[in-house]
Amino acid sequence: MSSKNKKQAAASGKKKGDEQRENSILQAVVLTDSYQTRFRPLTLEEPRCLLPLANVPLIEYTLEWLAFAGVKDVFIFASTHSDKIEEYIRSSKWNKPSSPFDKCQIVMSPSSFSVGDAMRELDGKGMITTDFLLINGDFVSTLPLEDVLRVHRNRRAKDKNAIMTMILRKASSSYSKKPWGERGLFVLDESTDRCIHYEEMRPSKKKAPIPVKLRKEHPTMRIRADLIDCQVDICSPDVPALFTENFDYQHIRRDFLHGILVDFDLYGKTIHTHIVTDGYAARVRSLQTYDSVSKDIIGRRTFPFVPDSNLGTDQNYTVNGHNIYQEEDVILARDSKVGRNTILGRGVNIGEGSSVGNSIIGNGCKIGKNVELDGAYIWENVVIGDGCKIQKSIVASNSVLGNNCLINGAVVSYGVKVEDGTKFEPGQMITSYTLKQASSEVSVADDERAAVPGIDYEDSEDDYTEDEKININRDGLAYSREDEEAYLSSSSIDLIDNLPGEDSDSDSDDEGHIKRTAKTGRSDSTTSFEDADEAWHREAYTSLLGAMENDHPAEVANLELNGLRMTANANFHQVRRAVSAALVARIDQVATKTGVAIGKVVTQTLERWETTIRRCVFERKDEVDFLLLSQRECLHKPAGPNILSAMAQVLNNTMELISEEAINDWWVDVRSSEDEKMAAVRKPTEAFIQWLADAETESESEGDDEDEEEESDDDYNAAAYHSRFLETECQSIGNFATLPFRQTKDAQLMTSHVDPDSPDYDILDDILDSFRANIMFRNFKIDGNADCTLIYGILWISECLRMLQPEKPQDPLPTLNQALVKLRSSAHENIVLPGDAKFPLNQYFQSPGSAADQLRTYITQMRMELAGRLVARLYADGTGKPSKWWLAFSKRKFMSVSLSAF
Amino acid sequence: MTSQMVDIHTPGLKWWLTHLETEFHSTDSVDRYIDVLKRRSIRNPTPAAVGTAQLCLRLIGSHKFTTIGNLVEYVLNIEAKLSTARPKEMSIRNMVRRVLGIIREEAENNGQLAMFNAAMEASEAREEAPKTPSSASRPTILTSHASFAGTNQAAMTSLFNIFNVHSPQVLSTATTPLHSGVNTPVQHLPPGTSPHITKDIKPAVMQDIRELVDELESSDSAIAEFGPQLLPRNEIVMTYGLPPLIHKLLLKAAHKKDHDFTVVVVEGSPNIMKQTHAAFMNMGSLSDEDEEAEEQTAARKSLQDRGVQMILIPDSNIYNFIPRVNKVLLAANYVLADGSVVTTSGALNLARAAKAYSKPVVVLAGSHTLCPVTTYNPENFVEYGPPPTISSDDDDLLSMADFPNPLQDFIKPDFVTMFVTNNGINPKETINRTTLDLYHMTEPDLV
Repeated sequence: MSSKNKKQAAASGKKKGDEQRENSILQAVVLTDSYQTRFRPLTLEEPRCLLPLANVPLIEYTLEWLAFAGVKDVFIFASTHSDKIEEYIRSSKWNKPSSPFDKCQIVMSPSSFSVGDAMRELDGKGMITTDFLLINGDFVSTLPLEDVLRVHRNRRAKDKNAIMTMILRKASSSYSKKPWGERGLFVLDESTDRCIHYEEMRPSKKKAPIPVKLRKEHPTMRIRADLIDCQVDICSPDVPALFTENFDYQHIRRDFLHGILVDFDLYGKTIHTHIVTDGYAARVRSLQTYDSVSKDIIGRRTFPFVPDSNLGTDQNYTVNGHNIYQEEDVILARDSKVGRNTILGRGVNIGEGSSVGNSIIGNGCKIGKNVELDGAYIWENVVIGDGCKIQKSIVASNSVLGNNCLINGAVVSYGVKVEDGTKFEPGQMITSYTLKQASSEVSVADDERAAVPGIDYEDSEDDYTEDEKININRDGLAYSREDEEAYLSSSSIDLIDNLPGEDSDSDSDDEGHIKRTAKTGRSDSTTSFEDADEAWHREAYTSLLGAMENDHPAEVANLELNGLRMTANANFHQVRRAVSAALVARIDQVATKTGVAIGKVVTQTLERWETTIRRCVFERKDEVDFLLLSQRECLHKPAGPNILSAMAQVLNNTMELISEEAINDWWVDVRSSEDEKMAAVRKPTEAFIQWLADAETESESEGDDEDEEEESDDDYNAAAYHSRFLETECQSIGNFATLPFRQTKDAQLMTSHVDPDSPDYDILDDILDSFRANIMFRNFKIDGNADCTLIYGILWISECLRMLQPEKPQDPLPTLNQALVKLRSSAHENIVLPGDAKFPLNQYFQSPGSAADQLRTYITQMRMELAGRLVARLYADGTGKPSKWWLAFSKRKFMSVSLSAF
Repeated sequence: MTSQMVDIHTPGLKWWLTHLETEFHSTDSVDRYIDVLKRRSIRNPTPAAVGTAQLCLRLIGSHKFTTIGNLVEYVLNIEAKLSTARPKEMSIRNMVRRVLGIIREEAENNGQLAMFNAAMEASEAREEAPKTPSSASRPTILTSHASFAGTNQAAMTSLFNIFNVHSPQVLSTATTPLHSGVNTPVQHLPPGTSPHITKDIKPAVMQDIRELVDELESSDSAIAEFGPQLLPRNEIVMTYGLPPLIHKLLLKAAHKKDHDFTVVVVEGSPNIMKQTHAAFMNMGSLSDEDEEAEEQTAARKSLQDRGVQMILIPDSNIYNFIPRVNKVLLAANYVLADGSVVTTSGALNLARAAKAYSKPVVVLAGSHTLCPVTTYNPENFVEYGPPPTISSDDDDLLSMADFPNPLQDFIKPDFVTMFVTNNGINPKETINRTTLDLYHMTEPDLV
């Protein structure tokens, strides 16, 4: 520790000495979690960034590259398996005093379910104050950063709205033929390298709309689909802030990039690209890329990050001709053959007559006699019996394969024991995960970590499309996964968790240890251990989901469900559970497959299956129960929080299936926030709850156009709120109602909300209460003079919020007194009256004519008073900082106008 | 706005020297240096030599030792650590060996040679004890050299064991250069017997290392001084690429008035193409990773402007031009004790052509690149880099093919005529002696 201090002291000394170095060194944020499930079942047990790639954990490549590029501060963001990542990093060389990083900090964020969540957390913790590099923990590269950063810096110096530079690599000519899951289509303005439009392409989505207006604004643009996007971005602190502002952004490309570019008019931020041709860059994001990156490492494309550089501690590889890398203590039988492109780890023992080629074998593996390995990735301490043949497969650590096994294109996860003579078909994935969990409870006495027999890992939703299957075939590599992001739903996790323990007496059967769980989940085997309720749930869930997938009429599905309920004497709670699980799974499935906004999918799906929900939800407590169950289902979906939020809105607002009281009950129910995860999942819904609270009383559905919904990112399916004072008789100047309001003194600032029913409730309370509900709207139908006052008030509040927003993101937020002074002083300035040339909404407001002075006085007082009450609300939480939930609206423009712009 | 600006500096030699100046730490810095070497942030013989020499200077400066034995053990320890980092970058090891040589010299000057030798032996014995206890009396230094190639250690040790069994006495006089002629009665002198004498030699050792660093830094220009001598008027020389060392030499030669000659530059793909073209157009920098050199480059008068005729040819054209050439110039990465040369890949082709047409091949090499080793296995010195990008429509074909890209060529001594080092011009026959003298050895190591 002392050395570290010394180092820092020395570093600061250096800074004084060297004036040129006043710039701070680029920081890096490494996201270790991909928020995908493509490496399941392997990632059930180990985080993806610790999976070995050429016998070295993946994250090592990323960190080595950062050190190579000269990065000093690293933040490692860990969510799933964060404990394992932390343990690994703490004991690694990156945490030692000799580490090239001055700071290597692990940020635990178990509640993050997407890049968006991570960025919001980053913003919330305020750790980043300068531009930073955002990369993933599965990134393998040799790109030099210096030039890229120089370009970025120059651009930032000229234009501070250039918030992000994406580093893209030009692909080789054969790229277009390679199989792919998703790819970006970039529309670039070549003269400035600016990215002006982005579409995510999928094999199932072959068309991309490009807005016409871009053509007008950019006379020359280039549409490129040949760029490999490793999601390496140099971001300004604005980027996390924008994520916070748009709490529904999940994916950095699909949501963030697309959103910021589409809403350029709103945010005014530009995003640029830097296309590199030299150097190597790739991400290990699927089993296929795992295979190709492994080959690149063996082929030395990643030089100097190759095994014989021995970057890891205790590594001692040597390489000889034909790219055969060998650690120390390798024992090869006399007539065994080691072919080209092979890595042999420490202590590998290869038996007589075996041949190995194009493979990577981890430390301590024992390979029997007459074994053939081709394109096999064998991790650590695997024992392979005599006469096995393994092709294009992954065998994870501590597995034991019996004699004469045939494995082709399969994945065998950790610690699986495979019987003699077993054959695995392409695409099979074998895990012992569930059994380990179970057996740890049952047989503690079994101390030695004996490999347990595996069971087939199968998803209930094999929903990849036809193209992807073709890709799989073309690739030659038999892994059946270049699948869609988050294809795996919670329900299948449930399925895994609930798989029955294996019968030990089925040994007579050759396949006894590898039993397939049928896709339908109709496993008529071994119900003895199984909870009857679970079985019923699974059955009902599968049948319902099947009906949804095949688009059966709702009546048919209802009948089937009812039949199931009768036969098993299931209660309605179980029915609700099945229904909610199926709905959430279906929504997630459709949303990920089609890429349509979640809000829309939710509306469609829920409306389609309305009768089904109605048949199991009867009263308020059922409604609460249904919401709770849905929340629990959303827990495991990456998009879960958004689905939940959208569901709550649609169920309450559009369909009126669930009352506001029920939603409130659910919200306060302890079960809905019983642990961190549950709390995290319902977080996006908070805005809706707030909105409900704000807009509690009468509301007329009026604004119904789709436009609103599109614009407001959140699919609010509601109408704007009118003033409650429409009926109140009062004086008006022009059509501006000069309603009376209370005047408060400073001392009274902190007064709590006034109840809407009390006689004290005035127009200003009304404005403040309905502000957040109304700000989203671009259209507002004026129903009376009080509405005009309301509009003016809303515009003024959003003006105030804008003023409170610091100019630079790193500036501190104003304190209560600063805010008060600032707003009060500006309340007197630049008052524009309806009828003035500058006033933005003259088409709605009548000119006050001769009463202009009178109106000016009224408006000034109103502005003063509103500013005071706004500040009171902003700082109501007593933290000394304005509430995020208000400031988030500062960039919104009510009715697309603002007072100051004119 | 300025406060937001971020910067990044790719670590290199310059970074390393600043690090040594500001954040030096006796153990962390060694580990960091090893990391940096492995990551290839510092590569090529000269930067690696400079970095290592500077590190040794700091390490010895900060190390508190009481006896020579202590110091020798410490340096041997560093040697063992550093040489495993990049066995193929031999200048790292050469530098530590030079430092050891300096210590020996200073010990000798102070009449403590016996102690030095004893220390060497003791550390040898300690190293060997767990492996082959019987060979404790084996000649020293050799084992520490044995790890030169890292993995070949086992093979070497056994080889010497064979010799040992038969005639240990003969060998010990013949192969222990560091105690040449001294029949040491204090062989097993326990370290610490005379603890205070060694304090004297530290300043002298430090001073000598500083001189070594100076020598390193001026090595290139010292070689360039031979330019006019090597290139008489109307000479036609052929070079493989235009590495900084040759470029400097040519500039120096052209500096002389009315000294016109012709240079035929061979360009080789893929590794040196860019560098050659840049140097040809007078845009290359004259030293490895020196940012300030860019200004000098801009101010520099090009070879063409100085009246030298420059011809750039692809390497496929070597045989067409070689008959008209008087001399071939090559810059060596490393020169082995027997006169073998490790140099940029592709140069072997040129050397062969020169041999076929009996043209003299002159190899330029700084003294830090002279390695006291010989080998039977040239592969040990060749490193493979990233393969060039090959694009083809036939993916299946590509997946079947390997693309080895050796970064170095190993040129056997038969192809070389003479060597130019910063200490003078050596015919091939004397390079062995020159090299061994440099390290105070009588026989090279076998790698």
